[in-house]
Amino acid sequence: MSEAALSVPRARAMGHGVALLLLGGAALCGLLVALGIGAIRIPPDGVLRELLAPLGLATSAPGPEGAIIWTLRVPRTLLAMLAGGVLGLAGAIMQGLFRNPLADPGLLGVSAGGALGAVFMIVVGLTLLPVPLRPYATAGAAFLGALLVTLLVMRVAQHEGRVMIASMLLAGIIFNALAGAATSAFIFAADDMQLRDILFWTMGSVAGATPAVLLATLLAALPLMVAAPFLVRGLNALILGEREAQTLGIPIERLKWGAVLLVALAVGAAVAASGMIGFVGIVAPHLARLMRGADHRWVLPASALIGAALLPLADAAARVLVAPAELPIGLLTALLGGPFFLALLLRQRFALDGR
Amino acid sequence: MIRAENLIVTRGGRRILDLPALSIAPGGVFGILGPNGAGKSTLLRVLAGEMAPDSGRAWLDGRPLGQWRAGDLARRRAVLPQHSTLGFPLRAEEVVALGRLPHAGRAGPQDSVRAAMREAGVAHLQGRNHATLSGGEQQRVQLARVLAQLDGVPPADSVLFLDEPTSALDLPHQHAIMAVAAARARAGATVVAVLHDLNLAARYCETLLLMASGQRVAEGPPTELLTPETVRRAYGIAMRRIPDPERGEVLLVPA
Repeated sequence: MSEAALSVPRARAMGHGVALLLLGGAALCGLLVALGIGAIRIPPDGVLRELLAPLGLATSAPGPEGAIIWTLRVPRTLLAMLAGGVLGLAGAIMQGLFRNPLADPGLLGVSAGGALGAVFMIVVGLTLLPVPLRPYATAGAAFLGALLVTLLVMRVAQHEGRVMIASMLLAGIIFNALAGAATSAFIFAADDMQLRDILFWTMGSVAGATPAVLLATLLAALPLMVAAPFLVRGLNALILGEREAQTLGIPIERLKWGAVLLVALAVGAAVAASGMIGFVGIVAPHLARLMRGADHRWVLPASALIGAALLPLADAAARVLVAPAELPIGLLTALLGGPFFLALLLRQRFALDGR
Repeated sequence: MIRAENLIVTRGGRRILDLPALSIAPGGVFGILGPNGAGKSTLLRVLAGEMAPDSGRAWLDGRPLGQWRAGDLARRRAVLPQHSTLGFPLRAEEVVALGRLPHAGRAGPQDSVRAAMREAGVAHLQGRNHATLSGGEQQRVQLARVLAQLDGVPPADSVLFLDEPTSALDLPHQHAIMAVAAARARAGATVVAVLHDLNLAARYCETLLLMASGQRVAEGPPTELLTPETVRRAYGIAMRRIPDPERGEVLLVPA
């Protein structure tokens, strides 16, 4: 087994803090690039000028560029950043909790529950609701579905007051299948128009970003972001094993419940706002560990920043690849993330085979 | 000082631990012996505060274990399991540094890590990926981790539990680990070890508890306890006891 294959850096030239600053800078640069990409191309300095204009720090260029950036691109790019950051952070936390580099919030049923909630609302609920509520109904139902399925998974995995990680995985698989079956049943009953809505929802998009959606997603994500630094110690101890973490004084049951509930809340909101966006939650923590090792003091913030950098770029690519049409962002992340993940898996397998 | 009374643990309708009284003094390694399923590891977990008995009580320094806060306990009691598999790759010194988690915010983590690695004889493994080490090296790195956890704790206050620490290790690693534990005990620490090798136990332990079916078969110093008769009662096999001509200890070999 080669050392590089297990991603343990030999020397640490700089501290985590400096590396995080660099990563944050890269994320900001990605943001400027992403805001400039689209049907009308705007160079990064032009983007910067438009962004600073309302603050009186620069003069806006004449023309439609300000409006394009502020009304069309900023909301969806911010949502992409927020969703990407949440998915990256939540993925890192789930992988640490399950002690498994393949884990992601989807295992808990967050995505399947969200899909069930959304599809239920599209097929059955919307017609029953008063018109003013309809724009937010799908997202709201997805959020509730995500929370509900996660709680069911946790409840089933609990035995004699302890949440068993292995049972959590099994319960996750079972409820994912059940939610998937129920979703299929609703899809089967849907009409053509509803099918279209469902299809686009499941492929994910940040095009529906409005200030209200952004605010709601941010509020749901905030507890996870604030609590993340307090999860670091426990997740680091868990690298050693559950028993080892317990003897190091980590309140392990509190850690599991706290982490899962915060993740479900944040990812549920991200899924509700942007649909199913796969692979970010797996790829971002992997990249973070490849860069500087598995210490969660680094992995958690780095995964959040990597996710927040990647998703706006993916959204920008989704806007231009098949212009004037627009690709669903979830389709794109799966298209890029799948091969990346396969390469990672193959490399690891060869390394384990000693080849 | 560890004390326990009327410990009972039942699993699946079977009493896997039933011990009326026990007291463990600091200053020497207390060895727990017995065949598989004798309740050794269950007893260790109860005494280490990892699990609560179904009935009965255990005390650490006069205070019931259930009343210790997890953090306070972790700052003076460390547990070395038989084998640890890491969830993610870490370097040897990163593993050892995790032993300092209960002391977060206190001074000198790097010194503690270095001192613990020297004491466990793994200073040369600094920078190595834990997953690429041999089983014996990994276990000694884990030993350094629990030593780091107890670094800075007055010897008389520190309690070290070893749960089959040497199973599956080769001879040099077995002795290296037990020698470090015995040195800690001589310095005044309380050390409790679950062991399988009778001769290893005789060599390093001050007191032995021999168990079978969750119950005490015998307890005492190795020379008194390790007789063919008691060993047959616990393990059900015939042994021969021969004196060690060099060191004046006893050796047990299958009859």
